[in-house]
Amino acid sequence: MTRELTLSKAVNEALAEEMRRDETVFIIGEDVAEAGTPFKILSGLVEEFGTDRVMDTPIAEPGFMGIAVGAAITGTRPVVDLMFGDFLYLVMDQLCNQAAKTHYMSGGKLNVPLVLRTNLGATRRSAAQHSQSLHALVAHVPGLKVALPSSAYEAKGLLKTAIRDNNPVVIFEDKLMYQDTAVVPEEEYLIPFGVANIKREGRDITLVATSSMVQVAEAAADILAAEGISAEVIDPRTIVPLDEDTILNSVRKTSRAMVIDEGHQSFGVTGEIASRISEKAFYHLDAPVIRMGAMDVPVPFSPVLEDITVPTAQGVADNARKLVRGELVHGA
Amino acid sequence: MAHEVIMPALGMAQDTGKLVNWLLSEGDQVKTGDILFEVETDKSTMEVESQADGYLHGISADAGDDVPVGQVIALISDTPGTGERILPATKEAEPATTEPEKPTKSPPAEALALRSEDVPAAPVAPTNKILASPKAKRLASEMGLDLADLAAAGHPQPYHVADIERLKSLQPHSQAASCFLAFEVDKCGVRDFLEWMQSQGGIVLDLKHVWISFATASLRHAKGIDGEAVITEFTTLDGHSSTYLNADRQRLSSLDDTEDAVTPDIIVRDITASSFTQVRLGASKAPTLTIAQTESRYMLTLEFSSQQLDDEQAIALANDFCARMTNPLQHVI
Repeated sequence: MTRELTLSKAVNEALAEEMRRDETVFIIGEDVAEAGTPFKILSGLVEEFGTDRVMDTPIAEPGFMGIAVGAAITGTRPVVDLMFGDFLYLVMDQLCNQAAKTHYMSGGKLNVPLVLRTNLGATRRSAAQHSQSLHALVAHVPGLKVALPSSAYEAKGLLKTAIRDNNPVVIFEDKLMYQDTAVVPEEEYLIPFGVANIKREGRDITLVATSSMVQVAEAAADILAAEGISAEVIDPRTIVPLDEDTILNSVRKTSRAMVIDEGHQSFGVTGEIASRISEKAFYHLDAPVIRMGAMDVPVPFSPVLEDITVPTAQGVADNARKLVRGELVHGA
Repeated sequence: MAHEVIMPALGMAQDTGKLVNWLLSEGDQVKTGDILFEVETDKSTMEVESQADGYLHGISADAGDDVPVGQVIALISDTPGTGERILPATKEAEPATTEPEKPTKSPPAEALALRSEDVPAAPVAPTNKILASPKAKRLASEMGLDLADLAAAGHPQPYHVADIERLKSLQPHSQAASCFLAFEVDKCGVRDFLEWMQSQGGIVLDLKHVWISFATASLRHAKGIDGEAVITEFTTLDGHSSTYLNADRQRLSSLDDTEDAVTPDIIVRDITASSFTQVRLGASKAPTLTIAQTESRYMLTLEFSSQQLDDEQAIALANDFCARMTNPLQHVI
């Protein structure tokens, strides 16, 4: 019996299942209990697990993040709810200096089995301070794992794996996908980290895409298929650890690659994956590896402007077509 | 130190400016702020002021000229009478990097760079360097092909894997199918002939000269090229080779090889010293007749590409050669 769930409900279910399975798992954050977060993701959890395990905090991100790090070191498995990914800037020390380094600096004596759940994604008309995709920021820090679910199915499987991991994991859900549905099995499943998902097989070009950009890449692949161009779409699922083998094997087959991600293009995830392809599959490349990230501007509040800052299916298809035809994207 | 007067960039997409007229003449004294000349762009006509004090010299653009943006069109020197004529295009500076003449705001360098990135450059390579994708270079190298041949043939760069097919078609030998015919003939015809020549006329013939002569005649017959020169190359297992011009028209007893290294029309390969009875080495630079032997028979292989001989010509060549070897005397006469 197949059933479809929203991404929001899939996250809720993953949390509920893990909290039932392991009583050391608890949720902490702003508006997580009675309010169930602004996106209503956690609705119903406080009724089942009580306010001891679904803890509302004051508006003080560094404070509750620090509490969670300490709680993780001392034997619990906190799931921190950071209302917007943009607030990562507020918890940088607790996350990057403490959580990421404690296992290493204690000589392996301490673990920080902590999950930071937050979000990314523009085009919600939330302006520059509530629309950023900052996953590259934490992916840069050794000691943190970073998961980017691209559907309800992925969100549930990756979150359950994150909660069971003995090291800090940051998981970014796309805030525009909370109401998107996908088939989510009734029976329990986990999605391992570092295993990319080949969403669609193709022959002519590899589109490596993360989070909601997987949908964009698949739509682009549809446009290209109508023109006789066969695109392979790969969702890495986690960027730390990154499944290089799947990406490189695909590029060796197709000879061309584009990397699509919603973070700012400069110094970001697209650049990292593109350079690994260029380094390790250089002699298989028949075209330059193209990055498509968000424009290097603060996300505009104007809807018209906001929409042109993120990669679109048409834009991806246009570039892919040029690469396959041997046309130049940036000159020779 | 003379100050350069440069055609300024007055618009974003401007490549050249039309010089309307000079308001000062060669040798005139100039002060900073004096109007030097007028420029017409697609939008407007503008006056360009001097950025230095001195004397105007070396005017190299005249009224009505379309001058590339950034080009030096005159000098302002400190002293009168030191001007030298500036050759056009000796200095084609980037508009964003050198513009002492800047009467209007021009876009910052970054803005220009961003714009130009969006516009694909024409696929040309101005230098000797061959532009090709890493995979195209690797494949060409693995196939022993030279991408420079594509450039020499005028195909635009950069090259991709798709261009390798075109490059292959430029290589005649690699493209042609390799064919062969295998046949055999009894040895006694030639043996009897050599014995007869010696006993009747006291003439000692070299067996290889008989082969060379007959192969040459057979090729001439098969291709119907009676009046043309035919070059025959003779090679042996030890790698020794010699070349003969019109071997079939010379005396069998005194066949002379030529000094000139020329491309042969047919190759006769002697492997009778080995125990091989057939070879298939693939088409060479010319149709190749390989002669092997058993105790009583010559084992022959004719290898050729479809461009060298068609099937009928190859069969005719083989048949003619067999006939000569079976009954040499008739053919010599």
